[in-house]
Amino acid sequence: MSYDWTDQDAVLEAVERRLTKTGRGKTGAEETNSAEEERRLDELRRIADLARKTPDREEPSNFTAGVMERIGRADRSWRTAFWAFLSRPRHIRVNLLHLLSGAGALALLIFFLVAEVNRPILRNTALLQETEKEYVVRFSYFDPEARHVFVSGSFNNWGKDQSPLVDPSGRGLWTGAVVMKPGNYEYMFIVDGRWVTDEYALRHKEDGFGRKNAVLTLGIDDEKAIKKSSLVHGSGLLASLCGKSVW
Amino acid sequence: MKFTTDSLIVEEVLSGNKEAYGHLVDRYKRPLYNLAFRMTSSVEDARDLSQEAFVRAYTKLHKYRPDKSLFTWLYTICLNLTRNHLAKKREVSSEDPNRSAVARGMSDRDCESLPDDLLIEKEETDWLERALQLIPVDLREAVVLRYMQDLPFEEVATISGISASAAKMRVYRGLERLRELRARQEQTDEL
Repeated sequence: MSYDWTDQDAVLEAVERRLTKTGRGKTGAEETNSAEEERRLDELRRIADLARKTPDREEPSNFTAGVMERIGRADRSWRTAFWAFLSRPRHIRVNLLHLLSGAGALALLIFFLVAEVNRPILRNTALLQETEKEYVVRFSYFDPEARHVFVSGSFNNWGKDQSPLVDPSGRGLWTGAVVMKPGNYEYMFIVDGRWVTDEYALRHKEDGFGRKNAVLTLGIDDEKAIKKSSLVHGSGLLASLCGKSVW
Repeated sequence: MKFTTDSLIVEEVLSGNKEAYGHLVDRYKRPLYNLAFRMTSSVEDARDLSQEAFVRAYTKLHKYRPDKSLFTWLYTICLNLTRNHLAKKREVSSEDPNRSAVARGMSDRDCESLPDDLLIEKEETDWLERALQLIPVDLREAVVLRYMQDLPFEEVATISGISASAAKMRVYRGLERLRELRARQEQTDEL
């Protein structure tokens, strides 16, 4: 057989066969190479053989120690790396226009934050946020001495313990939210078993037992109805935290 | 503590015994160092690259799949680092600094006075290490993995991320390029 030198696989196979033989030259009866082909195959074998015989070099004596040291450095906690990133000195090029824009944005942010902090704290009242079809009403009642506070009204069939308010901070601000459809509702707080009128409600109505129910009007065209524009600070936050499954 | 298998060591390292990783380094430092050296022909680069390969492997050890060969995985990491390193070097200097060094080394070879067998062998392997730097990186890595690291074609293919037939083709082309360099050198020597 004479080699087709474009068939690289076959040539490589021939070289590899020669590598495994102790002697050089023809490796099989079927090979009938010309002297030129044989010389070329032998040159390839010599190169491969030389590569095989190249002795391994010895790695530096402290190789493993070096790796372990580098691993130790790479193992630094992310906090250290983060702090290093923050505290690294940098050269910053400043564009005056960008600087002024940034300062303006910062001033606006501070203005709104201050306005939020100075907002009057509401006592016991009902706040709400309009959703597409329903309202999320947030009730709040302030009494540091109270142990249990519920809100009871026509929206929960005057159930006494269906809608408890909670005081997560322990400072006497009892809050809770409930989802309601548009309409007129009456309600009262139940504080440690006592019925208490929401004095901060916009409207009241006699309850027939000598007390006053708070009246809540949602989504009806009435000047005293609580509308979206009158949404009070904080109700949105609570509503988003509580969602519709408050109770 | 005696570690018998790579998987045991990996398990031990992942469970928090960082020192156990030293056993893996000891086990594979020589082949990795030699791989990097034969690819770069630089003692410093070989040390840095092979050490970095171990560090990378350590930081990614949780990604290592025990059903695969750790040795192959380490080789792949080392080879990738080496390729990137060589690519950066090419960017820095369009002219391969090894080229002139190799050419000089080859022409000086003849000046030696009648060396003994060992010296001839040493000269030949030195020539090969230098000549390897003159052939393309993909062909170089194929020849190094197949003959100098003595890996089967299948493993060469896995480490290089190519098919076995492509690995064979690269090995053949690498040998051919080296043969041509050899022939050219011999012609120069005869002059």
